[in-house]
Amino acid sequence: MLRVSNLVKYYKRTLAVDGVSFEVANGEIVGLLGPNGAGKTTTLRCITGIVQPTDGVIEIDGINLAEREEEAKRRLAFVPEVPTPYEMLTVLEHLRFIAMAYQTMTRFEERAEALLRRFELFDKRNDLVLSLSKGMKQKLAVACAFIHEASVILLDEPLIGIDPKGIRELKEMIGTARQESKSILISTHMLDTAERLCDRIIILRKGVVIAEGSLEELSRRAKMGEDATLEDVFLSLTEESDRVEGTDIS
Amino acid sequence: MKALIYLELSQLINSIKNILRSPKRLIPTLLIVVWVGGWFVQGLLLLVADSPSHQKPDFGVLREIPIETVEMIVFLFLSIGSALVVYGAFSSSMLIFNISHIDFLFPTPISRRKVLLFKLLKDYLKLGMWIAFFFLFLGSPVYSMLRVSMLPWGAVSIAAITALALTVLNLAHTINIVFTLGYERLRQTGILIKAVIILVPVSSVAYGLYHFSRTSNGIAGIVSAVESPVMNVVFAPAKWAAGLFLAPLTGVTPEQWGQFGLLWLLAAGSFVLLLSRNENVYEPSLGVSIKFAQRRAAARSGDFAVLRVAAMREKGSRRVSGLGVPPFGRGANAFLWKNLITRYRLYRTQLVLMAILPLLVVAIMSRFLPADLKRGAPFVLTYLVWMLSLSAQSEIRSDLKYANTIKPMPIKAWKLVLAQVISSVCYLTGGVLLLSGYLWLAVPEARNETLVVFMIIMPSLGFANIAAITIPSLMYPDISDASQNYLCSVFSFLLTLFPSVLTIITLLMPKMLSAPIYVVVTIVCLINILFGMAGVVLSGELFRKFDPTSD
Repeated sequence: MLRVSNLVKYYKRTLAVDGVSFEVANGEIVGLLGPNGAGKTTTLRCITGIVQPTDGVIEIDGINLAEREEEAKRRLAFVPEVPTPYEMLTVLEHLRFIAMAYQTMTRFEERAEALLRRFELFDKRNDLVLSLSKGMKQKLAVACAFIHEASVILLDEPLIGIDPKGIRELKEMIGTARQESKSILISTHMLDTAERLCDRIIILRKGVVIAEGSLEELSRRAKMGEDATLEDVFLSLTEESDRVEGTDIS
Repeated sequence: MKALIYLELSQLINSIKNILRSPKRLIPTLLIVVWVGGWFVQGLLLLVADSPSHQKPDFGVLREIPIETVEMIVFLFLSIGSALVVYGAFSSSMLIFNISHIDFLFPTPISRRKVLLFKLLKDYLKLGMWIAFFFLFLGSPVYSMLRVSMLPWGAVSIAAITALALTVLNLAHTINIVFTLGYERLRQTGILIKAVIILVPVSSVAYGLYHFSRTSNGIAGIVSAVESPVMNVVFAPAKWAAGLFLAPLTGVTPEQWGQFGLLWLLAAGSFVLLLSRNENVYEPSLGVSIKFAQRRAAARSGDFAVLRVAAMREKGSRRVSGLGVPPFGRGANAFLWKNLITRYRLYRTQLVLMAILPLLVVAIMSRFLPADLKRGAPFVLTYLVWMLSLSAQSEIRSDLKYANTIKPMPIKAWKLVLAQVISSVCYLTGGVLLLSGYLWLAVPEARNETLVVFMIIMPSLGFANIAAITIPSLMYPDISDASQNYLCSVFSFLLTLFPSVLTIITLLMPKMLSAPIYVVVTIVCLINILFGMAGVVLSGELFRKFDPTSD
């Protein structure tokens, strides 16, 4: 389970995230949505320990990231938005490095083969990463996230650049991970995908959570009908937030 | 740590294999290795050959060396360098990780301290090697001439400078980590430290001015400033390292051994201090690592336009600075307008430098050249035109990446090429006029008819040259391919040689044939324009057949 409580992040004097709190329960897929500059990437970077929160608590499976960082990170997998894998490693070496870093070398060959076959990278296992296309690099990044048995999976725009078959495989893997009681947080701009994949949606705007809940709950909040899509709801809620802010200023 | 060692070793082995597998990569690598290796062996041979057992030092020359002055200059250099590094650390990190580390290593459970330790060891090993390289390549020929061996005291010099560099870097990294993450909390302390860093040189200059006012001796004033008590206390480690810089000449006194030990103690202490910090070392390095990756990608592409854009992005340029060119024309003219406005979009410092550097060259020329040579200074304009034409090639080749957008436009290919060439000629003419103006102002001997003639002819020569270099640019468009770059350069050189030589020869004709100068100028301009138009037509035909999708 992932729990973020009152997360605040300042970059020098710029406030990027302002008191964000949410939970992703076991076996739940949560979508993190928001316009550009909403604070999604900063939130993910805080959860992965890449940046240090100014305030707030992040717990992964009940382990406080600030207090027991290595233990917490061992339970976490992360797929960056535009991954840049190590170009001078082969595909298999890349997976091996990640497995070594997470200290999960048991049955590595078997697990790696299964993952590589699933993402159609098996034939390229001995090729250098520099020879891979953008989509293949994205698939490799996803494979790296699944090579260790993480209980919390963070995906930052995971479907961009992947071919239709790869997208289907990834969606299936995400589904499987949910069945295995893993907590999945997906940050994305692809609203139709989020609508189909996610159990719950969190909408961030200017570093603040402006709405949270299932599509039905969000539709009710946006005062829209049952047939409203996530796109309708998202635009309505973010525009409403803009209007409220405009009123406050005036 | 095992995973990090695996990562580094695998990458190293794969890089070597990757080079060995491809002749295209192997040949340049071998050439570089042979070149560097040659220097290295030569340096080592000099060390061995000039050991004291072979020859006695040249005491006559040695006595002439102003050791104290050299030490003072080194001290000044080291202390200013240290101050700048430490001052810069308040705003920018010097820990540069590659993007793969950010994406794949930072989120792993490998402890930050281990990652930092590994990174520092790697960086410091490289730094030590660079310092040794510097001493070996520059120092050994000098010491060889003096018949003094660099061994064993040269090693002490290298070790002392390395220890100082490590101390300064460790301090800078620590400051950056602490002050980036404790920005609000430690703001006042940061301001105080920065003020001290600024006040030290200011107080030294004041001290020097005081001495100057009393003695009216400029040199004594400078020496007093550098040797001021404040400088000696604050930059004591730089002073010790500077004292050991010429150790092969001066030897090492017991007191200096103590200073050497202190330098290494400081390096070790600052290293421990840095590693003991609990702050997140990844965060401060994010911005600089991304910037560096963009710069490296731009440099790798060999595309000057990309480098220019990367530099502007780093400077945070958002708005257009300088004068604007109002939109004009349709079709090819609109294309010309686009080229005119995009080419000068540089950041302000670059624009200022471009205006100042030629003035500096002219000022040096005016100060040091004999009068005869100064009268012939306008001939420099031919060289300038030739250089600017060749540099325009990189822009032309770089613009080919937009061929997909430009080719479907309903404009004849030769007209597009003409617009491209004319935009470059406009900039070249600007450069010629600027330098001519500087020559006119700063070099009285150059204020003659020749300068006026050259000013008139050079734009046409530029047109001929740029049109000529467009042909190989279209024949060999791939910037990332070394062989294409080579062929492109060779062809460009040969093609630009023709109009340049022709222009020079024709300009010398009036003296030989007693022909009126304006007739010769007209003929030269016409020949250049005809040559240029031929180049434009030929390039247009090549551009028409150019396949933007192929490599």
